[in-house]
Amino acid sequence: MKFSYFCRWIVVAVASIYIAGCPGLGGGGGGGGGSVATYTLAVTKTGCGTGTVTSSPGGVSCGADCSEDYDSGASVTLTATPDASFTFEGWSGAGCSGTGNCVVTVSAATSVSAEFGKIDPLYIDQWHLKNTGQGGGVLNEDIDVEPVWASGIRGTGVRVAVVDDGLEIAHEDLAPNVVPNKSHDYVGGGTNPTGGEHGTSVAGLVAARGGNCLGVSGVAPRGEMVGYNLLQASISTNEADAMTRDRVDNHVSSNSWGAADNRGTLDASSLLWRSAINTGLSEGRGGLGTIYTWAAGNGHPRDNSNYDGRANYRGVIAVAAVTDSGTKSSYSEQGANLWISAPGGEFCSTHTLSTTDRSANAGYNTAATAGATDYVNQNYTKCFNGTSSATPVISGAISLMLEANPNLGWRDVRLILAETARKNDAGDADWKSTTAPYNFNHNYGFGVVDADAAVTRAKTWTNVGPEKTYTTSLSMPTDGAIPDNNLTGISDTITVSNSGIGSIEWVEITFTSDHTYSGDLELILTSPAGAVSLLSKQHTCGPCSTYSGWVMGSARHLGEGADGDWRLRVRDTDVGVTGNFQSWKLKFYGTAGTVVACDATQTAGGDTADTRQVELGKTAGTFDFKYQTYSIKDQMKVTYEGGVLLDTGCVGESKTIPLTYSGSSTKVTVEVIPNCAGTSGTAWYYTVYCP
Amino acid sequence: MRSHLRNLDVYLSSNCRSLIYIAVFLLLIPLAFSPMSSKGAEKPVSKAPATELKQSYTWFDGDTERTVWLNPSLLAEFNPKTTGQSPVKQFYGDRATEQPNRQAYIKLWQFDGVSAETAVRELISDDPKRRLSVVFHDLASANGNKRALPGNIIVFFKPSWEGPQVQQWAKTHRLNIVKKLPIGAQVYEIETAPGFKSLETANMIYKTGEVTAAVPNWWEEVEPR
Repeated sequence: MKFSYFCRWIVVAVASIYIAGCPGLGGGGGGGGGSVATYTLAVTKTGCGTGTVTSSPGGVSCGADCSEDYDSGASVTLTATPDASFTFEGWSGAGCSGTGNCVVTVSAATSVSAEFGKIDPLYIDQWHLKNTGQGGGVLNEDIDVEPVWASGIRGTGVRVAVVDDGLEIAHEDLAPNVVPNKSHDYVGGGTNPTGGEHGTSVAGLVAARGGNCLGVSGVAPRGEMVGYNLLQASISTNEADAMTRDRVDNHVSSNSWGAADNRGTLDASSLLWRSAINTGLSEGRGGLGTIYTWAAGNGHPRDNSNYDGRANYRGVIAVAAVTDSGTKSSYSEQGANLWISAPGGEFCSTHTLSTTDRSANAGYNTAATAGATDYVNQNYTKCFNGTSSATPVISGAISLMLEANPNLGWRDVRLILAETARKNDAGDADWKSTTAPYNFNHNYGFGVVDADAAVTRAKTWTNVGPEKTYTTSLSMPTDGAIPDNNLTGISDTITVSNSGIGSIEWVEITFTSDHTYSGDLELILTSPAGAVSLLSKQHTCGPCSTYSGWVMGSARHLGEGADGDWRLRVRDTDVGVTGNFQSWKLKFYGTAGTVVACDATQTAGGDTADTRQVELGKTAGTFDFKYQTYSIKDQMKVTYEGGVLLDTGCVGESKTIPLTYSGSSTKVTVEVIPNCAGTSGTAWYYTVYCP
Repeated sequence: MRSHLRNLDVYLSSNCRSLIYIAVFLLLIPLAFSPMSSKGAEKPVSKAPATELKQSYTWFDGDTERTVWLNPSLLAEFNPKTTGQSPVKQFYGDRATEQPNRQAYIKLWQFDGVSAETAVRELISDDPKRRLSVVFHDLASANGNKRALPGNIIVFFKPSWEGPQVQQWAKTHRLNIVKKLPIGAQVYEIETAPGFKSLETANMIYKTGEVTAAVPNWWEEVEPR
């Protein structure tokens, strides 16, 4: 065949274009010279399970074919599918993590690992994670964490400091999640705090490795941990160090310790400890604040958590314990300072928590118990309990929240936990609705943690504004004699006005009495809205303390406004020792709350409860309140300085009602409890017209 | 009327006495096994203020004055040897008994026939490097929370102070700075000997009014929960 000179050029040009555009002909791994480079994408399978990784576009079917060459710039989606009875634990390499698909843009030779696992052998006993009624518990009385794991959130990248008596960093089920060289030994120095069985069990509840075919799973099975063995050398400087060490990188400080329980005495925290906590709150996590979880205490009925100056501090989350039936663990202390509850179990014979133990014979599960009352494998125990157990469960749940939303501040975490907690033991008489959406119980705080609800809420949460505080002056009753053995007792009132706090986050109560037997005294704080904090109950102690400037905390008034009359009743409920109510004061922590203008119509934001303050511009007058709740019933409450101006009850109606008010505040509060008849999908609106 | 009653009594005594005995016996059985009986065995709680420990000391946790009571027979040994016999045991033999304690950093010794203060003095006289302290309680009772003084104090300076000012202050008071603590604005650990010296130094510095707070570096009894 003959071509003309011109045609030859055409053929050469077309051939060049074809070759340049043809995948694979440009040379492997090189690039340049106008040709497209190709690179190898290699998949490695790790873990104790089995499964297959496939790619789109095709080429990887691993199985057997675990690598493929792709053009530079190609986007390859890898999908992992575990074999039956196995699990996919996640990706690593090439920027991939979690359990979803791994999308790689190939621009160099690339390796990706896919870890396949299997449900841990003792997971079936971990009722706090999945309560199937095993061991006699109640179905679903757990922390509802499986949906979170299924969404791929397992604590990755979130670090918890376990402050305790030690942490066996080489434990087979902890080592993969322990950050190397970041733990601390307060006895010998260095980074190996191995030595405490309590801390090792606590750590397992936070973040024992999940899906590795070993032992148990933590709440955050891919979370990170460090251990500080403070309880081997509990001196003040070590305490301060343990609360603030590596505060940029540590997200949560998990504390299952405190002054000895069951004494009934008042055990104060120190200025140094409080300063350290305050430093963590303001400087931890780059200013977002370290989140401190704290065991509420195991001394019920003699102790109340408010007798513990660490557990009742506003900077910590005090954690109470529940059983596998969702009721209060018998030992778990009551308290107005309690924030949240989590499973802590009862006693070993009546179902406690399964977790890691010091390896071999070094921990709780000894040769005597192994195979008898405890697991045959002595690296684990099923006999761990207490508010010590409940606390790391919360730490793990917070890890999941922070993976979902790393920008949450320490107060945001608290508020989300309070809002999303599950109202357990619903028949308990102490449950009270405070300001919507919160429920509170002196046994449980705001309820049992619901990990799924908390993580879901965290994803869309808007951080709260800057914290405001307001401190009252000291009030000293003129005749402070406390009537002996008298249920009426003596009361004193502090009137708060213009505090600027429309939504309380914490109330601090400082109380002084010269009564030398604190166990005789009951202290009851009532807010302007009528909510009651039981700060102390009659109890025995041998010997007792004296309330001398004792500081207590209350979570009970979350969401309330601070303005109005606060009343403290002090009663001596037993015969014998007498004394005087000498002084008290209050300090409020919170925000201005949501303040809206009068005349502006407020509409439903969905099915969530809603509280807004409406600025009236005057301290007295009459205004019209117009509301519409449509056919799906809602409840609305209008309050002024704690007093109820209107409670609609649970209604589906439209009305306009004139309301009269007079006082020192210029704001009314409108609270909406949607779907009060147990429905969903409601709509509502209201307008507070300017007086 | 009287005769009727007497007749009733005769009737009861002759016909029902055995029934009454049986009834009383049956009533006593549940009482014997009720929780009340075990509660009745409990030692009554005294509400009197604790006076078991006599010697009290004050310290200042910031502006809050706090009191501790000396336990005359308890001694704290810090950083105890992990091998060989403790010098406390070597010196005092059966007069010193180690108390149960979970912490590796400290051993608590109960003394019999010698005061803890004397023992601290004698042991330190023998070897000044030993770190020993008497033990205090937060109540005037051995049931109160335990504290001891392993040495050093923590001083909170005014936030406006700069490092050189703190250095100069320490020099003036002939004190050595151990380190600046990474909390608050100007918080330093200052060197002192263990025991009373630590408490006295903290109080002395606080009372000068030159600092915000000066507290002993306490060892404090805490427990896992």
